[in-house]
Amino acid sequence: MTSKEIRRYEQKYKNYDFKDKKSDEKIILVLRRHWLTFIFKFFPVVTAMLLLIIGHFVLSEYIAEWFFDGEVTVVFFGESLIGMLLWIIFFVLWIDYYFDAWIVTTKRIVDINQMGLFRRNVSELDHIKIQDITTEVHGIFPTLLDYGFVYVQTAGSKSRFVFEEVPHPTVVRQLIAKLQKDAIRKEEKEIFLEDRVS
Amino acid sequence: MVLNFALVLYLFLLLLFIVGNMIIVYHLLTFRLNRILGVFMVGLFLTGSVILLGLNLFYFSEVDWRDLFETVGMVYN
Repeated sequence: MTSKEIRRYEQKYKNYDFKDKKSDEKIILVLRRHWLTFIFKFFPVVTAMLLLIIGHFVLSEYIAEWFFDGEVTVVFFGESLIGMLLWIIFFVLWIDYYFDAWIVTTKRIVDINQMGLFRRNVSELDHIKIQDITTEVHGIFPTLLDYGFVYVQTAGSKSRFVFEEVPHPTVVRQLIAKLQKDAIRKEEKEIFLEDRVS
Repeated sequence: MVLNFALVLYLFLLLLFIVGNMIIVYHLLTFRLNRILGVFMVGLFLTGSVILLGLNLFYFSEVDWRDLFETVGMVYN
């Protein structure tokens, strides 16, 4: 991973922002779980939506005949109520997926853990505190589609950061390792300059 | 009596839907990571919500609830 490649990532995420972002830091990478996990999560809701649409065209009149004396508008009313419920559930799941992210900046890693609408944990780790980075790709789908876990061992209070089911874990590891080396080099340079001044 | 209870229940569901909408929009705008996508998702969500709510209110107004409840034997007075 070269500095040029890191600058390319910076360009890719230049429209991104998050709360508490410092003015002098740039976003290098925004990671979420792989899209396959997103599909697994959304499958029941999307299936229910499709069944509702198919049911609307195929079953509405029969249901109206059987239960509501041929009053098909009642069935449409019920369908629209179910549609409203599914719409809300879909977006709650989307928020849970989209805002559950790991952000790698030029200074730190920010781990945003969104659980539903009312629970959100945010923790951060400076690159300088990283001790070890490990990747794990385990299973048929993860191997074929190249997604897996990245474990970042730290010296801080939170002993380990886990990037769960993220795409291209090896590239992520190389990128974080490069940022960590840069951070160490920068700190050593600052210490050297301070020593020279004193 | 049953009709009134059903109406209150329906109003409660509508209120719940509107509050749910407000909470989701708050999340989409407050915690957004990408400004363009954030605005797009809020637009998409609100458009869908307004269409669904409009359809629901339209169907609600089209149904003769008293007649329906009498037909299925739930209104006794």
